[in-house]
Amino acid sequence: MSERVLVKGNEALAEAAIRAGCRHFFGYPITPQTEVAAYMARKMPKIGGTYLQAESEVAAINMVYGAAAAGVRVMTSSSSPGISLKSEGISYLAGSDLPCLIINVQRGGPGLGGIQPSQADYWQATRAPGHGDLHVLVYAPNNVQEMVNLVFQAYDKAEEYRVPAMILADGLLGQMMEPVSFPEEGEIKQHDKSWAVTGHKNQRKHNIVNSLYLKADELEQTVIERFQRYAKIEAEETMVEEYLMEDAEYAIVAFGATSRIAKAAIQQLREQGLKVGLIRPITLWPFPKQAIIDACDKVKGFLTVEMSMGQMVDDVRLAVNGRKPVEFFGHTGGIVPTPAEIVEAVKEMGGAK
Amino acid sequence: MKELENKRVVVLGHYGSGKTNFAVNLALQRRAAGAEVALCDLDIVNPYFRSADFAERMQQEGIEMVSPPFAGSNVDVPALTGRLDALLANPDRQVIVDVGGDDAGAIAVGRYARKLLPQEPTVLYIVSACRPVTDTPQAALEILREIEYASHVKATHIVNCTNLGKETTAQTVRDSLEYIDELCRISGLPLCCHAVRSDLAEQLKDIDRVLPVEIFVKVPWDI
Repeated sequence: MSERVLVKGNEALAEAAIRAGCRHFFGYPITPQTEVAAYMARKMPKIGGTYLQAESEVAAINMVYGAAAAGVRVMTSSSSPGISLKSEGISYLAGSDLPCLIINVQRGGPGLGGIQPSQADYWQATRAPGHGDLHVLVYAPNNVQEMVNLVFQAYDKAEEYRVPAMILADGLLGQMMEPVSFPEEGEIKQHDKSWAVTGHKNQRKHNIVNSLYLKADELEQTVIERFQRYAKIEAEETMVEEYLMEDAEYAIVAFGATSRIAKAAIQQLREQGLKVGLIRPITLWPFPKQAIIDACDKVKGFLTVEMSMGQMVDDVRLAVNGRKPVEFFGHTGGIVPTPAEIVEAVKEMGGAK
Repeated sequence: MKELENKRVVVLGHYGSGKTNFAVNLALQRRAAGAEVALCDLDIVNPYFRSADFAERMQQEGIEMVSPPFAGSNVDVPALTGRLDALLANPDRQVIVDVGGDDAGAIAVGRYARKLLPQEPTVLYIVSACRPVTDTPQAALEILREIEYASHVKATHIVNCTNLGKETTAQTVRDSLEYIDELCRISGLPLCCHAVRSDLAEQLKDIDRVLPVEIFVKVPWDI
């Protein structure tokens, strides 16, 4: 680890990607993620990398497809409306078993929405980042150092399982500054890339990267095999943080920036004698079901807090499966919940009001 | 630090260097010293964490807050207000201009350069040695040149805002002194001050030109 520096979340994502070996960035500017592209534009030419501002998000994601097919570490970043434009390409990447890193620094939606922070792309990221039967790995950091660490993790796991990975951040995390340490270059795990289209030089068979299957049974078999890999990811790659859950009577479930606010609320609640803990999914897909299931035995109820109308709450309810009440509190459209509001919402659940 | 009493103070720098927090402090300190102050948020690039966030506090203190009409709203319209033109015509007001980061943000000052320059403004270049893009004096000078090219104004002084957020200690500031000396040397600019969190000022009293500041720029879970 190198010295401490003070960075914006967006810069941290860009610098971490470079240190993780990414030398190819294709994007299109959009608030509140523009610093990712700006940082790449400044840095990539100095280190022999490629920064390319494409003519659109659709073009950018297809450039990612091309670079990923060649087996190099590649990244694109955008914010909510731009990710919608990229969704066709994400599906093609998933259908072609290509690893890559996609950043979504979420803003308010739907439509053009607004530029303030949001978490309302949870459904999109975890259910349908593109058409067809597919998943992408989704990581949800809650601080700037974790943004750095999860970039390395995302590349590593994307290549291990040959799936696209996404970091689902939000405008607040993208814009805020915190001290971090970047790992040195060279701490990168190497994965087999014998599938990459790098020229056969008459020494091996053609490698073909493709998501089109002419026969239905062939396509079905390919998807079934891919889902076996997804099952392995679900079994082995789930990440979750539990905070003060040992004696908790109520559990708040929150991810990303909202989990920081939830922690501040939990401290206040504990000072008032209410035993409340936090379950923070770090991977959103795979969702940490088991942590929720285990908590069902000890808590009286769950409160999911999100910057949306309630999306992750679906996954919490699926895991709880009716065993305990699951409530939701949130704001949407760019409004950030306050610790005081979360304190009130927990008290209402407990009937302590 | 007579230069901070100039009726025209322009605050420039790399984004994330601490410009907004410094500008807010300067406005409050000058107001406390009796000056009639206007703080102008000229940031057309940064969506959050900006001077305009402190409009209410500024009003309470009797400081006029001038912001782009859409600052802090849900739209990305980099429009400026006509109010700054009026203020620059008023020789009695102290006008502090908080400019957006880098050359992209500094472009907005160019619009006012012709009015500002004859009034001999103090132009502060805010730097932090803990920011990766300005991690060497040479890199900081390169950014300054880009900003000057875009803004049509030249820096007159350096302000050291080196910090590591909540991890800042007196040592963080001490470690930056050599960097700042070198930046002053290669840029030919004098140091205005080392802006340090007020609780660290006592430990740094052996250093010349320490200006204690409060931390105003905060995240929603800081309570």
